Amino acid sequence: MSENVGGVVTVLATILGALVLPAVLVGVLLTDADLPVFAPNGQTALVQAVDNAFAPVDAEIEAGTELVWLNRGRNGHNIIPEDRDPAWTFEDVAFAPGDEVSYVFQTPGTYRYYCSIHGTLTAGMPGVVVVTDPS
Amino acid sequence: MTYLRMLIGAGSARRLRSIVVVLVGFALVASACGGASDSTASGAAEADVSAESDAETDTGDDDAADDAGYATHVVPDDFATIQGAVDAARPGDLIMIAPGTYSEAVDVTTDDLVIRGMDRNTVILDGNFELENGIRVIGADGVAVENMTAINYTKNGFFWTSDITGYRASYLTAIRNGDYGLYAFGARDGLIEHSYASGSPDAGFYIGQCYPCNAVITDVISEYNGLGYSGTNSGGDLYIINSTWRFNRAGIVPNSGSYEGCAPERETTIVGNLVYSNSNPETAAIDAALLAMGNGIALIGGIDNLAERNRVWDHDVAGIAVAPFPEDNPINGVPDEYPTDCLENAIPALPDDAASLPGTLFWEAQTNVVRENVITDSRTADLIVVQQAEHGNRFCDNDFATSLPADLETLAPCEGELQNLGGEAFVVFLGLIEETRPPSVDYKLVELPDPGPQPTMPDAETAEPEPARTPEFPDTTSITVPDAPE
Repeated sequence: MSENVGGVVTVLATILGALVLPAVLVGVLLTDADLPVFAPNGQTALVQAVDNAFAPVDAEIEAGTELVWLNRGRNGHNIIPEDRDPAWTFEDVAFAPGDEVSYVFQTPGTYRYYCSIHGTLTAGMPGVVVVTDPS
Repeated sequence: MTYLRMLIGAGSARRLRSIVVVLVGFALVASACGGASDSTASGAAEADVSAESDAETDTGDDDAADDAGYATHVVPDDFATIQGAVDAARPGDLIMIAPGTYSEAVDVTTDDLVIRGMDRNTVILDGNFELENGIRVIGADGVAVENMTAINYTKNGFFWTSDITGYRASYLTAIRNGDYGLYAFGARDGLIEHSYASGSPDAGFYIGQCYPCNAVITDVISEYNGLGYSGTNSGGDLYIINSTWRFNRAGIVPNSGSYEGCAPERETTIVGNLVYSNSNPETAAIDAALLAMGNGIALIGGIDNLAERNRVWDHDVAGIAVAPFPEDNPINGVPDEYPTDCLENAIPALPDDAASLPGTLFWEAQTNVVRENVITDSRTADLIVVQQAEHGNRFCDNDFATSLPADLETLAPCEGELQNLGGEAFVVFLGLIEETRPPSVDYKLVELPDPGPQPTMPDAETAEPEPARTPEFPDTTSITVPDAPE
């Protein structure tokens, strides 16, 4: 009986180990620091902030590209990043008509943001940057 | 997405950067520091007391809801903050705000709320030059805001935006706000009435990006702003009537531009207003206000507008001007077809070849009608049109002394053939564009008159809540030229 119990425990431990260990490893491996980071590629893409929308709303760029937001409208705007993971640590910024801000996206992912003056993440003045893996 | 691929060289990028360049490597450094601002609020929804704690003080007016079909939430008796009451309310509910000063920026996302101050002059929302908007309605239909005052917000006193059908502003006062006093953007079926706005660098009252707007502005006073009224790319059953526009840089200025959707501006009806002394050099003012300065009613780059039976006097440039809008560095051209139903997601696709756009885009003012107005004491001319006959603007039965070109009502009558209007007005117009205007005054510091107690909403404490619906359009034929104030 005890041998059977011991065998069951061994099997369960093996199964548990097989399930948990990879999960732990995945958790370790997918920390922000380990996500792929691509060097700046010298390219720039443009999102225009108008009254009161980002144009385009959905921007798609390759990792390493610098995205420039240029205020072409009459109203001041800001950019509030919603998705700071895995790597967007862009600070909240405000920019007046004619001004611009920029950020180099180096890690693939989907990054949502919005202008808090004219809306929320879901209404008013939202935006999305999809950063693709150039490799 | 083609334009997204409009990648430009690094040298151009450097030239473009004027404010913030986030250097490579900063991201990793900041990440290592913890990214502590994950939950940073915009400031737009800040309140002195959290909605959570508000909920604990709710006295539960659901019984009242059973009887009346709506619930009444009283601030601060039931909720310490307006935001707390708004968050707890259901469509159709009434929020009553007792006299006091509330340092809040309230966001409203629930349809059909009626948010009412018990006393217009003593229910005060104060942004303290830190909060952005007094009350901001985002994507909620039918919300009415009544009988209160908003001061010292960095952006707007009262703001409706994002695909709204139904809004109402009644008995509101907005003073010294950093953008607009009352602001409706991407909203239709609106009524703005019995309200006052002063001290905003853009417009005291603004309706933009909507067609048809189905909106009425009536019985308002707008003074000491950059613009009394501005409306970019709005129109279609849009009425501005029976109101006073004075002491701004410019008075009533509907206009067109590529930086908003629904272009061009068209079909705004301006009737029965007092428009005077809009040449004030001592206001806060955005660039458009500087450009339009000294004009009473300026139909700038708009189409099929009607200015009728207004009394207009004391302006440095024109009592009523019809002129193109020269938009520098446009993001798009004049649309080939005008949208027939336009509100949200209205920015047209940007051109693939941005370099094909002109450095300056002229929005022509076309087929506007100016008639039966009384216009006096304009330093350049009472009536000015800076367009040619082909643009179809017409003038008749106005009481005026001077026009540019001279004999304007003969050259461009309401009935009959349009004749050559010459180039004199255009020369004057170019001179005005180049003219240096007195600079804007900081809206936080600009001297404003105390408007005194403003008329308060009748029966504010007992009136049933009425969510906003399509307003009744005025019978403008019954509106006469208003008498000048004594």
